[in-house]
Amino acid sequence: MQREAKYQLRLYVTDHTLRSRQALAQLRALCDEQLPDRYELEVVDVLTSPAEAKAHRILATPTVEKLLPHPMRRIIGDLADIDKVLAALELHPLKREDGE
Amino acid sequence: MSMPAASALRWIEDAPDGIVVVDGAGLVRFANRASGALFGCASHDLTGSNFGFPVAAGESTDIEIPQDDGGWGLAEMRVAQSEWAGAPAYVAVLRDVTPETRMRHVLQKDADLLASLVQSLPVALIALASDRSVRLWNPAAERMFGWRAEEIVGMHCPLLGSDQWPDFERLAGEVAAGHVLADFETVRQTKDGERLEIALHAAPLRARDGKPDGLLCLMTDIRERRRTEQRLQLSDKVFQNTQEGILVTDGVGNIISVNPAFTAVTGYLPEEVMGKNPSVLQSGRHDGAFYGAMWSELAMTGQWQGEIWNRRRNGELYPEWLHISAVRDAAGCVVYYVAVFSDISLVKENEERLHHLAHYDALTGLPNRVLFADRLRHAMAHAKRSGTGVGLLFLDLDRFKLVNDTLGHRAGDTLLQLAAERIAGAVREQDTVARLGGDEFTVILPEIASPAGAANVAEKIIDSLTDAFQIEDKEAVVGASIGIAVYPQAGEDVETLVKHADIAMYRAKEAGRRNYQFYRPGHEGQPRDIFELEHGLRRALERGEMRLVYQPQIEIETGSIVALEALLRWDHPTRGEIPPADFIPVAEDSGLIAAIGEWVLGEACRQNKAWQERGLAPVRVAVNMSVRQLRNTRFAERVAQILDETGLDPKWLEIELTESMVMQFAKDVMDTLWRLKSMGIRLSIDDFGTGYSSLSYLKRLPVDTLKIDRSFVEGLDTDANDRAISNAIIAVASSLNLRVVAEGVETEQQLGFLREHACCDAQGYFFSRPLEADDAGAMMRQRVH
Repeated sequence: MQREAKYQLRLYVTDHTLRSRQALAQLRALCDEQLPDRYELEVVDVLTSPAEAKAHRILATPTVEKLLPHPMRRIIGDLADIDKVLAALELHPLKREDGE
Repeated sequence: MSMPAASALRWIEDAPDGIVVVDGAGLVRFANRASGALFGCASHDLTGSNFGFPVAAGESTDIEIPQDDGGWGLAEMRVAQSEWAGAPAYVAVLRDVTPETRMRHVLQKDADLLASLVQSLPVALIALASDRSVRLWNPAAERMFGWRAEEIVGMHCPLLGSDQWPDFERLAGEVAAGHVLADFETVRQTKDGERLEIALHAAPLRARDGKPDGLLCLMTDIRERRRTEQRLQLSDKVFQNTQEGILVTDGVGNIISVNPAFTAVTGYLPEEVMGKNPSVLQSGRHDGAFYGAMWSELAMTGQWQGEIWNRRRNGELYPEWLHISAVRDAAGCVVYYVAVFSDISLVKENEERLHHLAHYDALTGLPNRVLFADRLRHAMAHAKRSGTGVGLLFLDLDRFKLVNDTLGHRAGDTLLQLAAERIAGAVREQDTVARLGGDEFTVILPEIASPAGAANVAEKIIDSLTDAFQIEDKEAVVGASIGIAVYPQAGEDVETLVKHADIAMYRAKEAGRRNYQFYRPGHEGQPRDIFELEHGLRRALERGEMRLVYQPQIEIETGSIVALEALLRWDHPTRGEIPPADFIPVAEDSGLIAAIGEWVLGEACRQNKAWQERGLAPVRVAVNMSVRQLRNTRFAERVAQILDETGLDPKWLEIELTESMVMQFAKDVMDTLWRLKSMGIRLSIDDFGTGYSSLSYLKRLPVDTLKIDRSFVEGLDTDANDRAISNAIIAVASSLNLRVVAEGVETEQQLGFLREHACCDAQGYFFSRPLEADDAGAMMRQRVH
């Protein structure tokens, strides 16, 4: 049943800076590896969509928000360390489960 | 809370970095004052908000903080594990690095800009290290020299091979010492060995400590520039040395440049015309419309060329061939006008000389055949419009050939020149005297009211040519025979009029030279017959083809015969009887007239003597003589001889001369006439009334009789004019004590008029046709009173 679980993620970035592109690339690589075909990723630029950022009370970027499955979790900062990111977002990757 | 804990808390609260404590769910449990400032709110407002679980892969990571103004700040985040209220927590220490980042960003951008500039610069940019290895080699350098950056960077610069550029280190030393090397021209070789002309700009590169650290070189290919320069030099050479004047103005027409040829042609130095308008050269020969047309063509086509008269500095006008082009800028506005011109005054002069040669006779300077035809055409066209006439005189010098043959061609030429002067002096200003060639001249008399005007001019010309010409030490006497044809009566086109004047001229020659004749229809055929007639005439006397007939003159009052006019008849063996009017001119022209004249004179005298010897009452015999014969100085002598031979008393001989001939040559024949008179011979003027008689001359001539021309007598019955003329002739004769004979009397009425007006004698068919000698004798016998 876990296989059918959908992961809904949202990445908040500021402008198309090098860092933003890097964050997006890292997150996408992570998702493709850990959650293949099971995730939706939305990217929100806080500069072009300031109202949305404000509504979700985004304090800084890059911020990754896990909307589904509950509970909702956010992380901020460097997405390079996959384990830290997975742990902080409370993601339970397939492989890991399969491996268990 | 212990004191140390409280002071630690204050320290945290007052720390310059933002400190945020986040729990395991990512919610803020504590935020100090500096963090509030970072996020743009009060620190306690942050408490409870979802900051997110802070992660940093290494020691720190940067996060962006969106700001209300649409910009963003940057903070360096360090994360430490801790605990809060007994639960695990994380401390995020946030240092505002916005200003430094901005600066770094700008620097990075500058570097990017410089890099792209270097890449895209169209000029070869090469940086050399102190050891002359290549540090930078941009794409333009790759294109120019052929080496790729990757094969050359770090290598010794191939442009500096010691054999190639021995002087380089000295230059580099100067550059390092602060000397600016700009536009230094040198020749380098490409990778392929192609020779390149380049201009070098060099600047020193320095290390951070200010010490020289290599050289920055900018190189441009100057081959194109060289070519342009050479073109410009060539253009300038052309500009300076061309024979054509060049004048350049700006778009509003102020002169900005002129070349030496301009100065040579116009006489203006460059400094005298710079800034002025080319109108300083205007001659005033062209009107505003001319220049208007020029400018409108320039505006339309950008070009104008044509002939124009300008004025030199010395005031002299000259014609030039001018070509103007408008030079436009990219927007289409005229920025320059370039005028190139050549002085064509010499060409013009040559043209005029050619025109003169083509239209004027070189010997006399008179218009030639071409110009003559042109003028005649104009005169005829004008006369046609104005309803007037044009007189054309065709003039041939008599005896010119003789002068030419005896005195030589040079004398002949001189004679022609002198004759031309005299002819030109005898005509009006508006008349054109032309020389058609040889001794043929023509005179065009435009706008003459009547043929009489043309006759007057002809007389004047004949008079003017009468006096002997002094040629070197010789005298030459020539005369002129003139044929007159008047437009439109004698021809309505040039060719016809000229032909008819020519025919009339031959007629004049035939009529005894030094006279003029009007063209009359019927003249045409004669010149054709001349040769044939002349041929026949030579034998006519020998063969006895000539004979005389006699027409009686009757004294009106008494009805008795007072004289017989001897009339010459030629019975041509094949053509039958030829009238004297046809063959006498030929006889005169060929010189046969002398022999014929003598035969007539002798025969008439002999016949008259024969009649007298037969006992008939003596009458005068009247013989027609040509003035030509009288001009022979030995004529009187010859007559005396004939009278002597025949034994006729001179008082029974009468010599008839036509009026026109007597009047034309009165001066020439005066002596002869008086000599004849002194011998007792009578003199009669034939055809009286048809010529232009001068009464003063008439009085001075030893004339005995006037003969009224038959044309007047014919009209006596019907024409008041003819009656008036006849009456006047009778009156003139009476006043001069002359006899009057009316010719061509054919009717009783004519005779009645003559009798009424006291005319002495009459002759004509009314009395008798011309009769053979025997018949005349018989008639005389009958009429004996």
